[in-house]
Amino acid sequence: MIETRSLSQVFGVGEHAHQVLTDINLFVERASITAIVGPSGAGKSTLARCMNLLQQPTSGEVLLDGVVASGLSDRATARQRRAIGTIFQGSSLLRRRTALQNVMLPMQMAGVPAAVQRERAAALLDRVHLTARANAYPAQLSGGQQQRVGIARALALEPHILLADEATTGLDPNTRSSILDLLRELRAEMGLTIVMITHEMDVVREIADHVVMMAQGQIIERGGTGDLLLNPDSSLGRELFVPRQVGASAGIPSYTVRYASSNVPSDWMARLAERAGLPVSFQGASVEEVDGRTVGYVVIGIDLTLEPLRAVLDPLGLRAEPRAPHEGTTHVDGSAA
Amino acid sequence: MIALGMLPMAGRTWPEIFDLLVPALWQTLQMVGIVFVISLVIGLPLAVIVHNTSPSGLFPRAAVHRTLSVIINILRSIPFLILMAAVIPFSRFIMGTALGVAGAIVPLSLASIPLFARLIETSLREVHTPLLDAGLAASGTRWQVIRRVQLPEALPGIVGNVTIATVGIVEFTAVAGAVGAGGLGYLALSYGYSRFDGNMMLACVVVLVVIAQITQFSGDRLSRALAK
Repeated sequence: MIETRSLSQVFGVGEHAHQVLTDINLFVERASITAIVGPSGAGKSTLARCMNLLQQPTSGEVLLDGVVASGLSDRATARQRRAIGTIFQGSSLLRRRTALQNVMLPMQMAGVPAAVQRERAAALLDRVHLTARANAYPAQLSGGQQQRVGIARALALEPHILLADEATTGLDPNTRSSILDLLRELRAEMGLTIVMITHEMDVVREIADHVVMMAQGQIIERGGTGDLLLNPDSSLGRELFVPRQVGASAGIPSYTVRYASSNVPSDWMARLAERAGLPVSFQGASVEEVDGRTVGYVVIGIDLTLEPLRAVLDPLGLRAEPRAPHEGTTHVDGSAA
Repeated sequence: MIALGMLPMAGRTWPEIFDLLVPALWQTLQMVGIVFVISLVIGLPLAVIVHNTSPSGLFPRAAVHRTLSVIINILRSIPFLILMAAVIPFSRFIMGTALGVAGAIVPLSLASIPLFARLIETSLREVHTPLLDAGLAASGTRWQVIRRVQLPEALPGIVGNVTIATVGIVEFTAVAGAVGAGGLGYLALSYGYSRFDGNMMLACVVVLVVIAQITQFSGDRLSRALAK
């Protein structure tokens, strides 16, 4: 479990002072997966650097399992970092070490006996399915393989917290889901607490139990991923699931209908057509199961104004909204912070 | 044109040249060897300190960084011939003489250490910050990160740059020869230049070129072998 208390970070002094984080209070439960999202410049990476103790906050503190871990000496900080494994964006592997030697690095730093180092590193590489590549240098590994070595290295000192800073950014979709599967398995096996910094909303939907949204150095919204996705009033919930552009409606009003409850009847479109006495045209949809609940949206065309449409849909646990002509092209910033 | 004018037919025979060349070569190699070791032993830690006290280093100390940087720049900006003459009293104080190989060690080191420090610093700067972060996140102290991440990752670059600096020492020893340090530089100047011995000049130049080539070739090979 990792916690931050009124964490603030200011870079520069005097008139060049720049407040990057303001009063961040975060509590990440044991064995949960929390995603921190937000546009670039929101302070996500700075928060990550404070959380894995690479940076001292200007004020406030970081607690590991309830004990203050920030503001200590170099040596004591190095010791505290053993409880946190960090996976970085892209390859942060040492070029002149093999995969196995890279996994051994944290154990060398911590003074683990040489024989144990080799054995444990081999076991970790086996865990991330890379035994065959143990003696390869990073340049000989694919992006996904490098990231697996990075995960094995992050786990070398048996941390209970794993911090992933844009760890899946730049990977192709298949590699990305295999990395996410691996993280999920690790959480289940070792009870790892995982904090993911990401801007990829499908990664959040796929893996996170909780989401924290940051903007301009502050937390602006947070909640359970499923709850947010079913809450039509949550801007974070909307950003997690941005409707794509769909085919034009043939002269009748078009609506985005979001799932706003976990008890939406599966035949709701038929019920709508029946009660309104009007045909409903289906224009597009994106529906997924997150946390065992159906979330997402369906775009429909129906010759009805918003008021009567809502009167029918609200009781069914659905929230209808009129579609602007080019709605669906806005999305959360796509670059790494 | 000038070079041709310095190479008249008159001169020593090749056996005579050989007899003079061997001890001179030995003196040059001694100077290069001793100065190389001194420069590495002092220049490497100096580079580590200068780089890591900079704002992007592992323990930023602006005042230390600036002071060391200025000292290095001053030493680097003095032409070697002038530095050589200027430190004669200092050299006499440290080594007991300002002549011969022993007398040349102090000025050669003073010229070579800053060169090593700057070039090694450049290689250290090329190690990307995320790698240092990875070392710290791997529970390393800053010294451990220097030893296990920064230096090993910079090694191929350091070898390449140290090679350049070593060729630089060979050049400095030739200049030192002009002021009584002995070695190939002395031979080339006192016999080849002052006594118009074209063969002697040619022999010295060839040997100096061969030393520089061998140094560069081995350095390049080593640097490439270290890079993965």
